[in-house]
Amino acid sequence: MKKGYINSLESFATFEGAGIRLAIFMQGCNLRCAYCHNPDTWTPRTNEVVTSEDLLKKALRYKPYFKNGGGVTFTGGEPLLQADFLIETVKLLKENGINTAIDTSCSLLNDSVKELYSLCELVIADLKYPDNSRYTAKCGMAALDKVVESLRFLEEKNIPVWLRTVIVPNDNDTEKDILAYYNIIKDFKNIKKYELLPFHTMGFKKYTALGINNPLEGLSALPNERLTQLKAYLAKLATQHNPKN
Amino acid sequence: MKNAHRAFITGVWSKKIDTRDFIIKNYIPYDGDEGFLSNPTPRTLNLLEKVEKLLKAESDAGGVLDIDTGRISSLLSFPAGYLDKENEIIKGLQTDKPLKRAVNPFGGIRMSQQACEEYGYRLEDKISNAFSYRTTHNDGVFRAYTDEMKAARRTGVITGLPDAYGRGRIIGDYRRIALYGMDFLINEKKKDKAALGKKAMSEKNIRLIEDLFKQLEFMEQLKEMAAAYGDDISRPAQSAKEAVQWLYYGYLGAVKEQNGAANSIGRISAFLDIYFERDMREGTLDESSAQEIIDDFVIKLRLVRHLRTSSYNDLFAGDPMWVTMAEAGIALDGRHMVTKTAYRVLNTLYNLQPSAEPNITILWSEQLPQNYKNFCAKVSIDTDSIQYENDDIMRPNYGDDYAIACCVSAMKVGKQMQYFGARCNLAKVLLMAINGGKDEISGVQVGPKGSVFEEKPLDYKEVLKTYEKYSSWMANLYVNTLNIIHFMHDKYAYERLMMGLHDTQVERLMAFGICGLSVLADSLSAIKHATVTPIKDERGLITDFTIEGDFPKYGNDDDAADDIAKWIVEDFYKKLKKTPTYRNAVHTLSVLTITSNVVYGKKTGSTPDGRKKGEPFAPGANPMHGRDSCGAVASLNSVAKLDYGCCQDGISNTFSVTPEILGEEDNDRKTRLTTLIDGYFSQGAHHLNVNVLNREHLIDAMNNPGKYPNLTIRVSGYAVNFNKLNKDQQLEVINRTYHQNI
Repeated sequence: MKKGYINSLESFATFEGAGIRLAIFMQGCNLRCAYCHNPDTWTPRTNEVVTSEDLLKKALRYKPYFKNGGGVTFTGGEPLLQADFLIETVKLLKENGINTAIDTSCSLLNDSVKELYSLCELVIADLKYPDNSRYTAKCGMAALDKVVESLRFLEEKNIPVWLRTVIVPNDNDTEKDILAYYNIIKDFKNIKKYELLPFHTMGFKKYTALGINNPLEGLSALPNERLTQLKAYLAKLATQHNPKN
Repeated sequence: MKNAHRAFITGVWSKKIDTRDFIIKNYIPYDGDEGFLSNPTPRTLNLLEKVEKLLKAESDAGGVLDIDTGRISSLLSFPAGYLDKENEIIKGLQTDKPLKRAVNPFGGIRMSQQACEEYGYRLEDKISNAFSYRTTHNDGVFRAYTDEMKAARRTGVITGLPDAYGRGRIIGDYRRIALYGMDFLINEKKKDKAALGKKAMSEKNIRLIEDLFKQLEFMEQLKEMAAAYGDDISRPAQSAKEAVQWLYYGYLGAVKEQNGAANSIGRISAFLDIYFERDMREGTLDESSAQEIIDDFVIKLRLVRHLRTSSYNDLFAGDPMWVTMAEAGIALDGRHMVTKTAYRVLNTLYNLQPSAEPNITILWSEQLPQNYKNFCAKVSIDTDSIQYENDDIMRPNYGDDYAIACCVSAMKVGKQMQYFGARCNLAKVLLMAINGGKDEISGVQVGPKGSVFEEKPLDYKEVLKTYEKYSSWMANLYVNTLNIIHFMHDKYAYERLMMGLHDTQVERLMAFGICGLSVLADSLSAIKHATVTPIKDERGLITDFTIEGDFPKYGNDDDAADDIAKWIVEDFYKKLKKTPTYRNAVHTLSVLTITSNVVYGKKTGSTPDGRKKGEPFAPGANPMHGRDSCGAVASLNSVAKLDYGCCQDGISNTFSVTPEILGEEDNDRKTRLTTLIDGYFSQGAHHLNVNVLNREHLIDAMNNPGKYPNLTIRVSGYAVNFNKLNKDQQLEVINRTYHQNI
C-alpha cells in the first residue's frame, strides 16, 4: 500500500465544497506563495504518515454528516504532489459512497493528476495571478499556463470547478487585475463559482512559530469595503458578458 | 363533558384518563412550512411593551423587582393578579402583581430569610415564627444526614443537592385539566383512594393513601384559584383559549405551591393544536387569534419567578425556571408529531423577541419533515434559544408522550416522576483518591482513610485501582444521601398538586449526575499516555502535577481518550445501581452541569490533565475548552460515544459555531445545521444546544449590556439571558471552544 503524508484534519470544513466536509490537509507544496496561510504544510514528509485505509477509516467516522452534498476535500499543501496516493484513496472512498473534492493550485498536470481529477466530484482551483510574471515573483513558479491547461482538461471532462483568487492589498486589488482574471476564465463552461477571497493575517503566527521569513509581514488584511467593490465589479463584468443572466 | 369533547374522535381516553390516547387519535401532522404564521397583533405588542418595562425595572433593581415578605406562596394565599386585566387573554400570576416574588419556606426557612435579606428585604416575623414550629424539608434532611454526608456536601464533591429548596423536575400532566376538568380528575383520585383503603395497611400503602389525601386537597384548591379569575375549571375546556387557560392554571398552581429548581410545562403543542384546529374548523378562530393566544400564554410563562439566594444563583445562573416545553418527535404509529402549534410556539421567539423561557426543546428525529427541520435551524441561527434532543433514542424507552424536565431529563408525562439528584464531581473524586480520602483544598478527611500517592510518576493501573475504590465509596454515599433527601421531601414538601396530575401509581426515577467528565477523562489519559508527577504542598497533600509528553484528549474522535470517558460513565452508573433507592426508584444518570461547571471548577484543585486549581470545567459532556483540535464534528463524535443506555437522564452537549462557518447563504446555513444535527443524532447522541454567534458579539455584549437586552444563549441544557450571567460565567462562555475557520 502507498503512503501518504498529511498535516492535519478539520472535521467541520464548510468552505471547501458543498455540505459538511472532512478537510484533509496534505503535506508538501511545490509553490511558495507570499500570502500562504498554511506555511506549515510546505516541507514534504515531515508529519503524519498514513495509508489510504487509514484515511478511509477516518472518513467513515464522518459519513453520517455527509448528507446533502458533503464529503472529503483534499487540500494542503498541494494534494497533487501525492496524486498516486490520492488516486488509491479517492477510489476507496468512492467504493464506500463518499465523494471527493480536490483543493489545488492546478500547477501540476500529468497522467496521474488527470486520473485523479477524473475521480473527483469537484475541483476547487486557485487562479493566483493573471500573468506569469507575478506567478513567478510571488509563488516561485510561472504556473499560469499549467493552470489554464488544467482548466481546459477539466472542462473537457466536464468536472465542475470552483475557482478562487485571494486578493492581496497593493498586489492584485485593482479593477484592472479583476478584468485580467475575468478575461482568462470567462469562456469556461465548467466554472460554477468564481470567488474573490480577502487576504487575512491569521496565518502570520504560523510563520513566527516556524521561524520562516514572512514576506508580507506588517501587511493588513484586505478591507471588507474593497472586497465588496471588487466583487461588484466582477459581477458587472459577468452581466455584460452574458446579459441574459 | 359531551359538548367539550364535540367533534373529537373518541377512544380509551373518553372513559378514563389517557391524554396520550386523546392526542394520538386526534392530532393532525403538519408538513408545510412556516408561511402560514402570523405576526403579533397590536394588542400583543402593547402587552409586550408593558412586559419589557417591567423586565427593565426588575433588572435595574438588581434582579428582583419586589418581594412579598408577609405571605407564603401557595395556591390561595394571593388574590388574583393581572398584567393588564382588560387586555390579557391568558390570566394568572403567582402573586398579586407581575414579577413580585413570593417566599416559599417549605424547603427551608433560612433560605427564605437569607434571600429576602440579600435583596434588602426582611421576612416578616409572623412567617419566621410560624415556621419555628414547623419542620421543613431542610430540617428533616439535616436530622438524618451523617457527618460523612455533611463533609461531602461541604467540600463540594457532591453539590447542588436539593436539600434546602424544592427538588423540581416533576411535570404535572396539566393537559388533563383541559381535557377532563378537575371534577373528573378528583373523582378518579377518590376512587383510587377508596381502592387502596381495601388493601393491607403496610407502610407503603399508608404513605400512598396520605399522598392521595394531600393531592385531593390541592386539586380542590386549584378550582378555587381559577374561580378567583372567574373561571370554572371543574368542567373541561370548551375552546382552544380555554384549553390553554385551563392548562396554564394547572402550571400556575404548581409553581405557586413549589419552588422546585425546574418546573417544566411538558409536551403540549400537539395537544393544544387539536383544540386550535377544532375552533378553526368551527370558524371561531383565525390564525392571528391562535397566535395571539400562544403569544399571551408564552408571555405568562416568561413571567414566572422564584425567590433564590445568591449561592443558588452561582450554581444555576441567570434566574432560570426551566419552563421546558418539548415538541415534535415521532408517534409510535410512525407519524411525526409536528403540528401548526409547534410552529406557533417557535414563532413566539420572533413575535416576542428571543428569550430563555420557555425552554423550547425540539424532540428531533431523522424522520421529522424537512420543512420543520429547516425552520428550527432558522430559529437557532436567528435566536440561539432552542435545544435539540434525540427522539429516536428516547422513544424506545419513554414512548411518544414523554416530556423533558429541566434540561435533558425525559419522563412519561403523568406516569413517571423524578427524584432530582444534582451531581457528583468525579474529577474531585480522583483527587481525593490519590490524597487518601482528603479534600485537596480544605485538607478535611472526607472519604475512607488511605495513603497519599508519592511524588513520583503516577502509575495508571495503580491510580485506576484507587479511583475505583473511591468511586465505589462515593456512589454508595451519593445514593444514600439522595435517599434521605427524597424521603424528607416527600414527607415535608410533597408536590401535592403536581402529583395529583399524575397517575396514582407512578414510576419513580432517581436522577444522579456527574460533572467533570472531560477533566477526569483527560486526567486519566494523561496519566496513561504521558508522565504525570504529583507535587505535594506543605500539608503533604497533592495539589499540583508536572506533565511531560503529550496525551490523547477527549473531543478529537480518538478512541484512546474517548474510551476512557465512556468507561467513566458506565462504571459509575454500575456502581450507583449497587445501592438500593428510596421508594424503589429506578437509578438514572446524567452528564449535565447547568452553569455549575464554573463553581465546580472553583472548588476543585489542579488536575492531572493540566487544568489549574479553580479553573472552570467544561459544561456537561463537552470536551474541555480548546482541547478539541480536529474541529466540531470530531468533537461531536467523541460525545456521541457516551452510552445513552447508562445515561438515561441525559447527556448534555453545548455547541457554538459562528454564522460564517455555517455558510454564506441562509439556505446553506439551514441545510448544514440540520445535516449536522442529523449526523450527530444518527450515532445515538442525546442532546445538542446550538449557538450560532461570534465571540466578538459576546465580548461586546459583556462590555455593553444595554445594547443587547434580549441576547439569549444556550448553556448546558437551558437558555439564559447573557446579561444575567455574572462576569465569571460570561468569561467562561466566551472562552469556550468556538468552531470557526482559520
